[in-house]
Amino acid sequence: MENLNITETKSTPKVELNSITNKHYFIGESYPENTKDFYAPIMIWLKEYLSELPSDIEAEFNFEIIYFNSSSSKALMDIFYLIDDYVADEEKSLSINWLYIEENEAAEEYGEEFAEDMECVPFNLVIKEEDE
Amino acid sequence: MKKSNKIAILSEHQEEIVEIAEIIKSITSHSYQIYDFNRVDECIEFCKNRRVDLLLAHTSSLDIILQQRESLPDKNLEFILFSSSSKEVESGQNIFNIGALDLFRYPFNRDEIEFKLNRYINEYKNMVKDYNRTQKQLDRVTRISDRQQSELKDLNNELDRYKHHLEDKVEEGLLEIKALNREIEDTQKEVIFTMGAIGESRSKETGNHVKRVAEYSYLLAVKYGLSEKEAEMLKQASPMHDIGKVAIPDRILNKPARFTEDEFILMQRHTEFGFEMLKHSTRELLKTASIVAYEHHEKWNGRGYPRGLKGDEIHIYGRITAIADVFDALGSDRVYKKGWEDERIFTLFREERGEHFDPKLVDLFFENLEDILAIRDRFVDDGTE
Repeated sequence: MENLNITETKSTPKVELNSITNKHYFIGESYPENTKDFYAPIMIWLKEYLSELPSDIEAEFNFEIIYFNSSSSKALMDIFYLIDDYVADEEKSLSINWLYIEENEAAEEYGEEFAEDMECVPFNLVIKEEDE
Repeated sequence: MKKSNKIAILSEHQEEIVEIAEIIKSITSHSYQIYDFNRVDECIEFCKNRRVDLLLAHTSSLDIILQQRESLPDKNLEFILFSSSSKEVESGQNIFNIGALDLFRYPFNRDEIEFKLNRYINEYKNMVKDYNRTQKQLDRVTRISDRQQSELKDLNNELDRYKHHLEDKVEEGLLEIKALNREIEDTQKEVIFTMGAIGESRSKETGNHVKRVAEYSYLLAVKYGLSEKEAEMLKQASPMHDIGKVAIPDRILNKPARFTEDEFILMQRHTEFGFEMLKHSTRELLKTASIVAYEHHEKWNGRGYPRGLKGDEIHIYGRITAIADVFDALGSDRVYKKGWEDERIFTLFREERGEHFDPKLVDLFFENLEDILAIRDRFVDDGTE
């Protein structure tokens, strides 16, 4: 299937979903004017991708969202739950990395809360070097 | 290992419980844990304390179940009714309207029970999962929103503080600028006044002479119709009308006897010297001063010096300073003469109307004589200046 690439804007993150490398990235800030419109094609892509993904292929989802509004947090949780379900029901080899810089305490707390909600998928909190 | 689904079975008849339990236990696709009760109160009590996924109850317990369901932790506890005989089905009562998921009729069909239980359990579990997730999402979203709101509030407060700080600073800066401006203006006035005073002191004029000339000039300028700004400018510039006298040697300037013709010609040149000293400035005030210095000895009839200008050719500043200067000079005592009586001065002014002086200014002088004399009284020479 085709990769999904969305360019970063002031209010939406860069999204790189890659069915060849199986490494996926969400990087930037998320406060779109219409959150549903922004995340709907992403959810469609992910559902198709995950249903086709063989169980023995490892896939990694990286989130480096510096700032997000509350409706984006719901959209992000929808993605996390979707991934979690595929690990729970079909035992796929998926993992989620939540990246943040050490000074961003809020991002760390949000990551901790999201991690609590995940039942099966490994949800890793990863401190990122600031000058990377 | 998957969690087993908890099913409570309620019937007064133990044999019914056994029959249904046997069927449920034989289901292999899902794991079910069975709790059986003969008494409705025991069953309700159990449901209050334990999580139960589904309740299977005999139709005879329907009323009490409906009553008690509200008091359970899970108010939406799903239940399926069963009847022990085909006769027992309530006549005309639609079980779906009262909230039951289904009705298992006697004799029980194993396949039907298996199919329906599995389906309900799956649906129920998904519903619970969705519900829990939605609750969590709501909870998270609310907390994130709260947090962001409080951050926003903090930022707004900080912004307010900055704004006030900035306003204070601007206010402070403005006050400082105002103070500095006043300082500059005051210094300028003082410098000009002092320059004028140098000219006067060298010719032994009294210090108040320049002050009076300044005030007379201001008054006449306003009455003549010049703007307040111009009148003020003239007031500040007029003390410099004799600044050119610094270029005249003392022996001539303070000569007690009559000037020789050469001396007189040199003496007259103080107007040109003053003009030369001041003309290079681009400052409005010094330009005004240069005009006053140059033209205050010109006469309306063209017989003045240095250029012999006539009538309107003489700048209004020059014409005004001329009348102000002469009035004050005539009335003041000098080393070599006593001051003139007022009447003598007024007679002279009337004679010189249209000759030495601008006729309009002479008229204004007399019209405002009271104010002019008040100025003279205010800056009277008392010997201390």
